[in-house]
Amino acid sequence: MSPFFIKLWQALVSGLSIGSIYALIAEGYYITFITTGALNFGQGEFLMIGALFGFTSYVTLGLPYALAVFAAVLLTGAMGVVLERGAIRPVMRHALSLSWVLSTVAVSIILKNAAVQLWGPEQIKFPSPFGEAVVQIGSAGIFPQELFIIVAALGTVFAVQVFLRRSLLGKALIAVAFNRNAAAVMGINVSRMVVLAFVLSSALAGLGGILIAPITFAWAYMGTVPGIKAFAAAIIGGLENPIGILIGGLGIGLLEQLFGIINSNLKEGITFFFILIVLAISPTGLMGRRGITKV
Amino acid sequence: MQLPIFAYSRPANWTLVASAVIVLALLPIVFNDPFFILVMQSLAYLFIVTLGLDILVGWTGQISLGHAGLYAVGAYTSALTSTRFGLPFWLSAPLGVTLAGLFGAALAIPSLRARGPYLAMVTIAFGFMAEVTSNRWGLTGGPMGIMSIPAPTLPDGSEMTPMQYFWLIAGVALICHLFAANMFRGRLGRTLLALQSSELAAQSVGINVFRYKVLAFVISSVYAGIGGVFFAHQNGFINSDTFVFSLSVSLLTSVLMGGSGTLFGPLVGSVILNLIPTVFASLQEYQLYIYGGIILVTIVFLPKGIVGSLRLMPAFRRLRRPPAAITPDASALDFASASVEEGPILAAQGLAKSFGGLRALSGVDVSIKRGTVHGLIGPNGSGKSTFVNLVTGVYRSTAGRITLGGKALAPQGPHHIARSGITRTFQSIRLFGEIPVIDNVMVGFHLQLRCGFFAQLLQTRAAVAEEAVFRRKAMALLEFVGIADRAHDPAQNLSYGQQRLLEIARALAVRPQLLMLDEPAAGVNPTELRHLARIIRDIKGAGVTLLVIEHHMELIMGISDVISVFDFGQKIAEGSAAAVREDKKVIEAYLGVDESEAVAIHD
Amino acid sequence: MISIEGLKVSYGHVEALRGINLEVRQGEITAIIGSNGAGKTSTLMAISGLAPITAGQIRFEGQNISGRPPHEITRLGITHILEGRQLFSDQTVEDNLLLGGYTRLPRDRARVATLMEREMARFPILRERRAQLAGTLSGGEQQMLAIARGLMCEPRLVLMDEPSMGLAPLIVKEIVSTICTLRDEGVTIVLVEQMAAVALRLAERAYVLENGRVKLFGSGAELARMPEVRHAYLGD
Repeated sequence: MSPFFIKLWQALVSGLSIGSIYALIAEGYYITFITTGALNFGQGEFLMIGALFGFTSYVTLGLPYALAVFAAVLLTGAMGVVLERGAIRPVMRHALSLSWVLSTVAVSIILKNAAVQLWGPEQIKFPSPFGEAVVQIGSAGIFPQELFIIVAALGTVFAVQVFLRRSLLGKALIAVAFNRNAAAVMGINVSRMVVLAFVLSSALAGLGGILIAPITFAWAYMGTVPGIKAFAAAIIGGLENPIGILIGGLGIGLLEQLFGIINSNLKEGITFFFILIVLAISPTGLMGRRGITKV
Repeated sequence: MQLPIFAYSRPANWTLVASAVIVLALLPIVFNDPFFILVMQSLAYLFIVTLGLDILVGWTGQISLGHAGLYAVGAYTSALTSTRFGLPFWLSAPLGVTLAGLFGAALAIPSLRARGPYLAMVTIAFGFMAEVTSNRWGLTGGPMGIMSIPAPTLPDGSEMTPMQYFWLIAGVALICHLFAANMFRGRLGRTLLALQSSELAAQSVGINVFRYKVLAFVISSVYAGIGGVFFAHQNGFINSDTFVFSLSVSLLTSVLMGGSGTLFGPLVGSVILNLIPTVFASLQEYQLYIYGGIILVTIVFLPKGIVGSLRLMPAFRRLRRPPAAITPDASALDFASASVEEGPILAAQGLAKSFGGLRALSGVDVSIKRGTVHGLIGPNGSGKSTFVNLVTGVYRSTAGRITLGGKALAPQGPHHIARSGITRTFQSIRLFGEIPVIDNVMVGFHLQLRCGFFAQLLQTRAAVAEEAVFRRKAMALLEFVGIADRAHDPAQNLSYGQQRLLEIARALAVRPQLLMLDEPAAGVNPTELRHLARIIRDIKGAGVTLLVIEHHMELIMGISDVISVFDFGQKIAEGSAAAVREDKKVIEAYLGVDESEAVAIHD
Repeated sequence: MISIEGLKVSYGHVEALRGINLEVRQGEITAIIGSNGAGKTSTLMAISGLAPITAGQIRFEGQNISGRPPHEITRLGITHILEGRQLFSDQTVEDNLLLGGYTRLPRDRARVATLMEREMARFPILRERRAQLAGTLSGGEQQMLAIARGLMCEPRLVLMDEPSMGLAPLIVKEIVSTICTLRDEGVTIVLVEQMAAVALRLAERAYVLENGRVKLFGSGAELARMPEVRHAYLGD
């Protein structure tokens, strides 16, 4: 296999793995956006907390990886409740639609500072539970963690969609997202569903963090950029379209890694350039719902 | 959002301006500390940037999380041209500002159709691209940056001292503030607020939404560029560390915390946010907690920001001088252009509209005669509003054609239709709720105001005079519909019936040939109903043709010369009121159940 | 069953209801008619908890229910079939019905299944279309689904907002007969209608609202004979 193809193959796997993390976080944006019209601009920080708390559980406390994942998800999920109560609920009452942007940004600033205090500002190496050795597939070397990420993250994305479409609670959540009043008169407790939405989205971000940490480093400032890129993925796919979000996430991940082969400088900028083009052509994302308002 | 309290065009307020000039002049002399002067410089140019951001966020309702990028464009352009090409500040600075303005115009394009989070993403993407470019492009020097950026030179060849630089920045900041006040006191502010409240209603009076959004972006980015230029020449050195996402975030935070849509809010916000690190310098560790905490608390308890909340307090409301009495100018009631052409004013042939699978209108032919009141009735969902929306360009038809005065009416946006002399009121009232009643009518005069952007900016005598003239005309229209006594109240405070009348007054301001009223009598009481009937007759008498959609049988039968009846997207009857009343199909469509059968159900 | 006193509802500055008194008697159909914007929908929304009550009281079987959240009011036995149907268009007919039975799930799964069967027997077309997305149904079918969905919680009181809106006369007849059947089954109904003739023929009691106040009330037959009512609402 020529060196170029090896790089291509590796980029493909890396792209899919980081892309599936973006898709995971983007799904969180989707859930809160459809239920409340708001999203957590500090979602990236929840990813970071998941990674760092996971590090504490797995490395410092020596818990088995599975338990560490569980603990990270539980913590971030619980933080989702606090987020909803403290930063979302009090501002959704306001007619001004921008308040939640600022309140969630404020929370992210506080979380970042807490992280620096608890774990320090340096980058921390997170050992992969699958070992650091590279697995040879053909003549290309793949990190087993990357494969695990693809399976776990995508698996979770699908599991959440199944939950939303098949289970009673999921259907109730979708109902609230679609039409709050109609859901309320069915006897569905709307505010409880909103809390659930935020718990779910925060937990997804936390999961993403502990999954990705062995690949990148775990550190207090790791969350902002992935949070924004996942937002971009959600936007490109169309915020209200779960399939679009998946494609958006994987697409961005692949785009970055593939362009990275050509030029590492391009890698960073290409995502955002791509977003501008997509939104210029299709302002509601590639597969977004085009609303027809009654006049 | 409210219109600014202070109108600097008024001579009385020049004392305020003069005092500000004196204070700013004395400030660095009294506090002659180099660090203090540096801080004052920064606050001054950050005020300019945040004021510009406020133009976008507060006045136009478009969120921007990428302003650091526009700031960067101004800064780098001026820095590079002055270091590499040796341009003096007085040339490199305008260059930087111009380039920032161009970028702003370019950024406006994807932002035009994107809304809400999609719009936020566009600005974020731009901001990040700017961040990455500044970090990695050789030209900008990345983290190493650009050094030896010269300070502006004075006529005698020497470099400006920090104190003089402060005066320069503060002077420019004051001018920017005055321009903003002028712009937003008048037509531009009204138009932008109208756009925010209801784009559709704004278009119906002829406002080109596209053009105004681009204008807002350009002004905003010019201000950001000015700030960036001043930043670049402040310390002789800039690098990519500054132009990061968190700068965009803190700029937006300053605006929202201070109070968006106000002229002083951005200043208050910038001061607070930039002073926190200084004030709490001792609590280094907890600084960010305090920063985040203050933001959270402010946004929860003061959603309109600090200045915004202050404005709502009764004490501040007294600062608003009660508006001077305005004598109405009855020439405003000269609506229609005298045209003695023959033939129908509007004719629709085979007009159809489908939304996906739903057939809202299937092939209707309607002809409206000049100078008549043409009624349009039918059950809910029969296609009446769709018809109006097709004529006014809100929707594009899927089949059929429309002619206006004999000439084919090309499919075009609502604001062009308004230019042709067609306007309408809305079934669900679409007023510009937060601005005063009289200003709602002023927005309606949009197409007739002649003074352009720069006249407004400088508040030339012509601009001030024109405003006064049209205010009198607006008053006349308000008197005509009978709500002149509420002229200075916010439109949303009016009763339901009065709001409907205001919509009519606004529509009349357009001087339409054809006025379409969509359910004007919905929810009005019998007194208001008689009043409405009288107004409709008066409008007809003034030469305007009317199309009235209504459910209220008494009204429609009383005022209409001809009535068309729609049901399920088709025209099922047409004729005089008497003829339509007797029509069997019409009776069935409205009552729904055949008389004889119904009796059998319940007795 | 329902007694309303001095009810005021405001949305921001706009006063939708300016103090109304209304009574709904068990086992009867009570109609509320009036022109657009008169406050009919606001009255129903105040009962079901969807609209903010600024003054006054609503009592349901003696209990004060004003200000309670909608999901609690539904559990008390009141269902609201909203204006314009407001189905969950992206979910199937079956899921819409299932969500209608939300108050009894997940405990009483069997009972909900029985209820679903009952509704599908009442409206056979729903059984035919059970796996289709609710948004793809015709107007009349959607109205039937909305009613069936509302009945899934076995309510004692049904609030119906303009069930005839946008429907062909033939379908309206079917809806009317369904309403009568319900009344015969012992369900109390409050019916808001724009088509006054239909409503007045069905109702034992009727209220005419205008500008947020009760203008007239009496039996349906009485009101249908009054010249003012015929003039204003029956196109006479």
